[in-house]
Amino acid sequence: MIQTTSKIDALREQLNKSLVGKQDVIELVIACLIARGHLLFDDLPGLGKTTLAKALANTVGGMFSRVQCTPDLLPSDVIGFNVFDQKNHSFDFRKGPVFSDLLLTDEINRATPRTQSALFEAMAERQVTVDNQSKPLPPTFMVIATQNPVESHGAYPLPEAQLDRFAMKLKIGYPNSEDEVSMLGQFVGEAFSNQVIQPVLTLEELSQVQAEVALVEVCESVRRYLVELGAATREHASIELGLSPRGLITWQRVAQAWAFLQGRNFVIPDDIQAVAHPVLNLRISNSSENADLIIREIIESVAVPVEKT
Amino acid sequence: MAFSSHSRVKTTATWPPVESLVLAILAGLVVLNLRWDMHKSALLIVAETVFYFSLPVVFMVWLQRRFGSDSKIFEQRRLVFGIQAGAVLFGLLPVLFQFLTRTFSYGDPFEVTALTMLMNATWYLAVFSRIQRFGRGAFVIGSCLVLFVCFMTQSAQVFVFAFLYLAISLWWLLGNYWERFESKTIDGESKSLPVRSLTVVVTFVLLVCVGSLALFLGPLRQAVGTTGFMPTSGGNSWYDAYARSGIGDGDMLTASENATSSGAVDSNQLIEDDRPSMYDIVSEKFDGPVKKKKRRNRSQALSAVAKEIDKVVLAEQAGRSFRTVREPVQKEEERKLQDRITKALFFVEGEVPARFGVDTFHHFDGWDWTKPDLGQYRLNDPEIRVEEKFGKPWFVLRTEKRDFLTASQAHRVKMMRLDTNSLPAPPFLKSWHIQQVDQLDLFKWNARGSLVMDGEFIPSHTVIDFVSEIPNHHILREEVKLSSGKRADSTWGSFWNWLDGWADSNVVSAAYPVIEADLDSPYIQVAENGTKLRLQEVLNKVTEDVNPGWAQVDAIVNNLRSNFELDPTRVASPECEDSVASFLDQAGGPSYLFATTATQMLRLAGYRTRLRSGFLVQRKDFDRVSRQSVVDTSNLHMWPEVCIDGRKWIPVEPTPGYPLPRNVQTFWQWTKVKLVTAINWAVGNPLSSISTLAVAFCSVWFRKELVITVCWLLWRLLVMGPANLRLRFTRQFLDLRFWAAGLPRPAFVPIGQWYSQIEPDSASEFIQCWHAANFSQSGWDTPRGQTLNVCKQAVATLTYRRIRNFINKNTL
Repeated sequence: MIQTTSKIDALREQLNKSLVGKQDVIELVIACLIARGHLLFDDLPGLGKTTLAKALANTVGGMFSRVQCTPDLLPSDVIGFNVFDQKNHSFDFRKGPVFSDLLLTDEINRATPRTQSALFEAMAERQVTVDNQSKPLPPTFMVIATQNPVESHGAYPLPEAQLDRFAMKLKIGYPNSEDEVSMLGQFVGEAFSNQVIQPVLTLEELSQVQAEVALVEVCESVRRYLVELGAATREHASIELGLSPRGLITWQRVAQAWAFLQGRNFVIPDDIQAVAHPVLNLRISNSSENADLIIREIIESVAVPVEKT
Repeated sequence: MAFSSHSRVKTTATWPPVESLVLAILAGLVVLNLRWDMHKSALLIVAETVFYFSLPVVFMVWLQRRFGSDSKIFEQRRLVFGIQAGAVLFGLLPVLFQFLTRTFSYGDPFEVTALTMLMNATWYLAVFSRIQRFGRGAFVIGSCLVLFVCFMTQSAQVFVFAFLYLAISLWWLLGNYWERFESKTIDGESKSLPVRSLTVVVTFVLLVCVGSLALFLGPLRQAVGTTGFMPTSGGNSWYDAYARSGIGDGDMLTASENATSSGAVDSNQLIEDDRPSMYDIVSEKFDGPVKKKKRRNRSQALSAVAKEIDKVVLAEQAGRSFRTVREPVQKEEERKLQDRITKALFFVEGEVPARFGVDTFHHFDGWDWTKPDLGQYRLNDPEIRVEEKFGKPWFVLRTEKRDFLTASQAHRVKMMRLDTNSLPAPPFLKSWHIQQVDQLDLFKWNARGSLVMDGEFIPSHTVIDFVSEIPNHHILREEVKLSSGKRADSTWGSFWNWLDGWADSNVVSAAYPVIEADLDSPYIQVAENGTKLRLQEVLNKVTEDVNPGWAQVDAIVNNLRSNFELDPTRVASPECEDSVASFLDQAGGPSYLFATTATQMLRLAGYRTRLRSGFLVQRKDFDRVSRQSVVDTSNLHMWPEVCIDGRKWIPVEPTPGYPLPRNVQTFWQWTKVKLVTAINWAVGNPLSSISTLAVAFCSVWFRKELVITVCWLLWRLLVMGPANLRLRFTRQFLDLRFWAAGLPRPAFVPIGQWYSQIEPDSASEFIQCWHAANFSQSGWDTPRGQTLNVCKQAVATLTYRRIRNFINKNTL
């Protein structure tokens, strides 16, 4: 546990160097990583979405792939395709970028729904099926997607089925002025970007951490609290589609990761509330413009468990 | 609604929902109240009830240890069958208990045993209400139980518990059936309740109706309502000591043929011939009269007086006198109930304390009370008629209806060894009934205005039902135009008159007393001797600031009650000229001297008064098992009766320690009297009232601080307990502090977030301990001493003052 904590601290330090002044976002990114969730960055251009995604990919040792989504991107460009080998008279499978430990799909909403759908199986089941042959992905496979909410021309909103497969949606937001001054200082005298990020976490270590997170306890009263929150999303008048059971499981996993990051081996209601916004934001933002307000209403509608039942 | 959100989540614990337990406990309390009132030993029934209530809980704990604490264990058919068998055995347990307790004469009547069985069934089913249908079974049986008990009792506590049961069960019903009901009404398919809940609702409506009926019918119900409802003895040779009614359902006159059928009375002793006369009864109670009578001066100047003396002499010769100069009473031995029953003069069913007048005395000569013929001064005796009520013949007195007689009460008297033909009747008698007797000429008024039965004495075992009226003194004052209060000779006097008038809104301010005009009336006769002057002095002092009328009667009676001491050994000296003088000298005496003195003083003040002898039945005479009061010679009592309106004799009680005659008042009258009494007390005790006001004001102003301080003391005590309880009390205490400081924690905010807003690290260790104790399945291994420190630190950090400062800072 002590070793794990030091690894997480190193990861945190590395990411903080890459993205200045966004400790809270980085904490959630790490939670998503160790909860085996997929991450969607949804923010304006130039706020560091890709920078953070790349930094995360680099700090975790393993294979990193990147897909720049465009309207003419095909599913086969993502998952790969069979090529006929005339020499051997057989089909060879050419792996696409999805066969990696961390896949960055930049501007995911610029890909057509057809191409977006190619990621469904990979994200949910960590495998792809081509020509009736299923091919497994690495167990630590993670998708980090970015999207730009402003430009709607030539963009395709992500369907609910796709959104439900992400663990959380994060907004990075503008840094404050002090952090911006510091950031500008880093780039003075640097003609070419030569920042080298050393991996601090091997894939084996990541798997071990993810296994430890899964062991974090969630007692009955907290589980019941989670269920009541889920029911509240389904009953809320402003939400068209409430939280799915998969969404509940994801929420619990992220809360476990959050508790783990706080140094606890059990989840408390505070953890559920701490990750509620990024988890729910993803699932209700299509329904309403005032997602934050709705999430607050949902949380306020359910009594928090104080004691064990 | 709040409960709908809770009902959404199904718990898996084996323990039942709290509301089921609360309902079963309430039903149990109802039965316990009934038994408490009827059983010989309150301790035994409490112990028995605790035993019954703990048995299913122990069984449940054993089941949990054996099979686990998940409600899924109740899906095992064999286990449920075992629990059902346990229910039957547990339900039958009271029967086995009766076999044991009846051996020691501590048993219950049949119907109470049946109710105890139902109580056990209710509790057992409630404890196991996680099993399908058990909860509903407990509810239905519990409701029936409460209904039955409401039928059987008039105890106010039972009705309180019953209405509490009603309220909680209504809540329970809504909580369980609301969703079903709500969905149907919204859809418009059906607006009726589901059949099962409808059945339960109808049960409850019936419960309310019957409960209300029982409450409002009042004492009359006791005489006619419960007759024959439950098993009784009587009517044949069968005798059951635990039958509900010893008097029975009307064996009455025929009972003398078979005395064993009529109740818990030793029949052999009943038919003895040495029945005591009234004189013997008096002797037994007050010891014997002094034989040697001192010569006293009597005025012989007036012929009318001489004539009166002749009457007195005649009365004395006829043995119809009571001497107030008597030997000191021998110390009474402690009597057992059985001794009292065998020497019982009569039994009484109905509300006690109650007075039963037998005889009256009019004339007092300083030593003896006699009852000469009243002649022209005799009040008009009301006509006796026979009317049919409830299918039975009742003798009814045709009296003028008086507004101050606002309520009725019923008593049932069973004559035993009382050898008199005078009816032992309660005051304000209205009607009476004897089974199968409808002969009008059987009862008549005698020459002294007493109601007597034809013959030498009323046969023993005669059962008489009396219905009498109860006065409302507030209305009484209005009706006879009497006023209470101080004289209006100053501004304050006017204020007091207004205040008392407000407390008794019916009082007419321009009051005038009704004082007997005819000085020759035997009802205002006072012994003509030196004592009269002394008595007049005392009277003047007592009535100095009191308006004539009922207030003076009250003042005279209250003076005797508060300034003189009841002492049966302080008898009048045989050397005295007047027993009243001896009473005044000794500042006390036996009860008959109180009555004598009060009568003399009232007469001296001008109020028609007579001395009434009879029996005062008190609560201590009530026998719980037989549900009746035993009246023997120790109940003999004397009291004055005042006739203030020329029609009704109103009893008063001057002897301290004896209960006042029954008087009813409306709630509004009661409130006003209490308020005026409080104001009077406050003005009379300025220092105490200011202190009380100051304490009350401080208690209200600093109520939250007070609550916090009390809870802090409680916390100091409880924090010494086990570690988990210590944590819990600390958390609850901290929540209370936040509430008291005006920053109550919203239900959706975790305690950690809420507590840490005062200071980020405040009580962080406590919060960690709390989280570990409540949300970690692997347990919590903080040492005991450390927990105590953590709790103390949290309480020391999150102080009331600090929270208040935080609020003030954020408000600004």
